[in-house]
Amino acid sequence: MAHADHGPKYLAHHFDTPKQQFESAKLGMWLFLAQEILFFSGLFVAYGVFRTWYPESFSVGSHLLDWKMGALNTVVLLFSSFTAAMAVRAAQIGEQTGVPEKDQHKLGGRKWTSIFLIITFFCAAGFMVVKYLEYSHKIHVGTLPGQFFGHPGFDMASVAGAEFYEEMEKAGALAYESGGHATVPFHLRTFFGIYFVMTGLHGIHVLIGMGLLLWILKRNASGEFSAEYNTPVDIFALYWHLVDLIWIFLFPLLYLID
Amino acid sequence: MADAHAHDHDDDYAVHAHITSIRTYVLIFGALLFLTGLTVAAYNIRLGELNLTVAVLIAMVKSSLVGAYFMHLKYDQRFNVLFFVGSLIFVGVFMAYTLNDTDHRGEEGVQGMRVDPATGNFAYGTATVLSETGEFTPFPEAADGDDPQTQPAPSEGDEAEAAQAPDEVDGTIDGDAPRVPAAPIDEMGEQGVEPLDEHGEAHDEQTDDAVAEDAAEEEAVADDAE
Repeated sequence: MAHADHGPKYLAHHFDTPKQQFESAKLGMWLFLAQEILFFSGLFVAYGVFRTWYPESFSVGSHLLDWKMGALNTVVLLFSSFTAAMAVRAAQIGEQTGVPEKDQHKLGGRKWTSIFLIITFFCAAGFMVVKYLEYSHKIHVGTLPGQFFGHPGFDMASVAGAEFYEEMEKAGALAYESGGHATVPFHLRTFFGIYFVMTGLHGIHVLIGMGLLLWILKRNASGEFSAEYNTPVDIFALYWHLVDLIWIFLFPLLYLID
Repeated sequence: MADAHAHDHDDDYAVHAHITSIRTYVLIFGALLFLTGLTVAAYNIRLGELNLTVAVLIAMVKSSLVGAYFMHLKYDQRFNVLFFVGSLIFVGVFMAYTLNDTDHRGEEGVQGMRVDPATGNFAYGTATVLSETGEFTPFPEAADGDDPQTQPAPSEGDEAEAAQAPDEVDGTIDGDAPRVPAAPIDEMGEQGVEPLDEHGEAHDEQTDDAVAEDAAEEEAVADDAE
């Protein structure tokens, strides 16, 4: 087949039809998402092992997280997933020139794709702002993981300051009296290690998603996508929904323990 | 869409994406918000043991909704669904087999301890019971870190070292005191005794181990020089 006859501009040379190209892209993306799930599963299993070994530490640790912040971020991320889905829908509908007014889909076309992508981007940014507030508080009160978490025989009142001590008291977490001063369960550091690694890795995924969003937005603005070809928007949204899915599990597992 | 391609094999040629209605997306989003509220409510009721089960079940329902509607799996190729569900099944296998090991280590001992019957010691991952009651020091070496210890006498290594690296010897070096970098011990291995002018002033903060190791290294250097 001569190159000129191959098909529309968006059809890569090594595909026979747009449909074959689309399904290959989807299949590849789903393979990648399955890999992402397995990639995160190591951390979820580590969480399961340490939670069953040190349930008190995990209970105290989750009381030191602000579940309202976590819930707010859950809602923000769910909404961003919704707008990402709406962006895909708008791209699938495409420009409706020549379609009678009564037959037109609402909220479709390039303009709406851009609008929904921009809303998604700002939700992602909002998520990271809340994350930043949470992290800076954790760092301030001294619950960084591993060797940065105080020292053995860690006395929360003297090391982390009165603020955190009050929080502990309010949460009823000062159950471990030793030598006349309140201490915390030794494996609290394990909980915060898991907290920082899991939310950190998820946060990196959000940041990558924000970068991809800008790229897709630019391509949409240049008029590359249409009702016939909108695969990149679709594929990006799949990634974004997976980031949402992982947070759906992280939120109750980290913030809402007992 | 279809009319755009006057083509013999129209069904095999163009992409016919299923366009979900706004109403469906809004309903799904509403259901996700409701389930999030339900998770938080269940947490505040304090179901105790059931808490984790309920939270994970709700999260599974939520992810099914996201997968089926937002990710279009309901209208997608079944092959793609296979990857998604398959990966989740393998996560379950991973979790179940690992926890089946880590949850059943050792036998019941006193005060809820788990004991490895083969050795009579704590089973792995179970010594925490003692550390939480203050009877077990996880890092005993950290407790005596502050003990004062005599510093090794200055050796001829100083002169030998000075001969090897004349550029780095300056006014900050006290001829009588051993030169010890304040760097952590693990860094010393790489740096040796080179960074004199950066660390020469920080004698007060050195650790005893660092002193000993440094003295040993200086001796070695001296031997080499001879």
